[in-house]
Amino acid sequence: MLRLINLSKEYDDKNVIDNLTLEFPQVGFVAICGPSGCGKTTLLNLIAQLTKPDGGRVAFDIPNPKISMSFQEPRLLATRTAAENVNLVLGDKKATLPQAEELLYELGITDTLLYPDELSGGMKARISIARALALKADLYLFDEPFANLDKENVLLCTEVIKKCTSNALTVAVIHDTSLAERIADKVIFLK
Amino acid sequence: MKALKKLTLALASATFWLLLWFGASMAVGNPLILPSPIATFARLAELSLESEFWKTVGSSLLRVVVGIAIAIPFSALFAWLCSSSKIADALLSPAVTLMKSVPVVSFILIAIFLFDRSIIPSAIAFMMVFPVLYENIREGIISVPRELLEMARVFRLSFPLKLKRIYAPAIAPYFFAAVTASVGLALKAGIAAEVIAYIPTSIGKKLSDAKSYMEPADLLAWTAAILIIGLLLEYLLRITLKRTQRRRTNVKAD
Repeated sequence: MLRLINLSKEYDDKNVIDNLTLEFPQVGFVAICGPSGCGKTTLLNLIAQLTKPDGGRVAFDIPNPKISMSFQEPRLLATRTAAENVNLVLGDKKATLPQAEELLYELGITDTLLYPDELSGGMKARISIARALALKADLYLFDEPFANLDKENVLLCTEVIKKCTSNALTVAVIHDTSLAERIADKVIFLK
Repeated sequence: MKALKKLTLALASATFWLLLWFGASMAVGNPLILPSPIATFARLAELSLESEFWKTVGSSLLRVVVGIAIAIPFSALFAWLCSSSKIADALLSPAVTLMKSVPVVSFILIAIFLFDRSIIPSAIAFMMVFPVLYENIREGIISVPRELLEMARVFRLSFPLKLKRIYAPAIAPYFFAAVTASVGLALKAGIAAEVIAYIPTSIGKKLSDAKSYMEPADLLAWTAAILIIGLLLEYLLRITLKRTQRRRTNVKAD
């Protein structure tokens, strides 16, 4: 599904990713762990093609794969409600709003009419996860999805993520190594 | 209570200036040089009873509004172009500087040579509004958080959807502030153009006639009419701006 071939990226003359070659399975949950500043977020941005590599390439088995992503920060539209933020990736149509609400209910957010500035950090993180899951994608990228969540919500979100992405590849940056080992099919450590 | 205090203060200020005007007209003692506020407003009331007055006000207003209405899509288009292309920005920036720095009267006189007289007030209103709108819309486009644009890119949001949900809310406060700031300018410059180009059925022509026929009460009455129109336009725009802000136009990435 996804291969990283001799991938390199540098910022301010510092090699963040240095000649990295990796092969990912077609389907499954892959966790990326490593210390702060080791290039985990940069790696996700390279896979999502938000940034260009300085060397090597990101290769996909299928042409033009659909990628969905939950960023480190929620990146929600302050002018839209929780449900509308999720519905945005479904085409922002009235007809798809119940689908967005359903996903939010699954992630434990019942008040879908609240605006981001009325929500806690944990709720915003779950909306960001819901938005990523709303899109039927070939590849799901999650950057620290559980950073702002309590134990109970980590379990809930893991369950929903696994259910919604069962037919796709999921790559998640997870800071907590023990959590990553518990929930992922494969764990990759970056140095 | 706060609104009442504000209103009282505004009324007190207006009364002060009217009294000052009244005092000055008494001191001059010649209504042919400086008519009193009572004579001026009496003349304005008299004029407002004539259908010709409303036809004149409507025509002048229409010319200015046409200029503003044309400036809006043009400034949006150029702001978009210039925020996405450095070449376009370099090409347009001297033109905008020129529009901002050249005295309006020079533009009016050049326009008299170049265009049909009837379109001059609209063209001048355009010239006044375009640079202000252009710069503000451009600022609004630049203010869109990069993080939201990246999010839109990952989710492959369509251009109309990005425009509606990301760009429009970001640009709206800048746009309304620019329109509010420039509408008065457009009105004043448009009427100045009417005076110089001597446009039939216009406030400018009425001002020019009042000066020529030595009718200072008419001159001040038409000036008061311009002032009232300007204030009304600004008030209407401010209400629109408040309503849009209530609909949460802040487009920060949350």
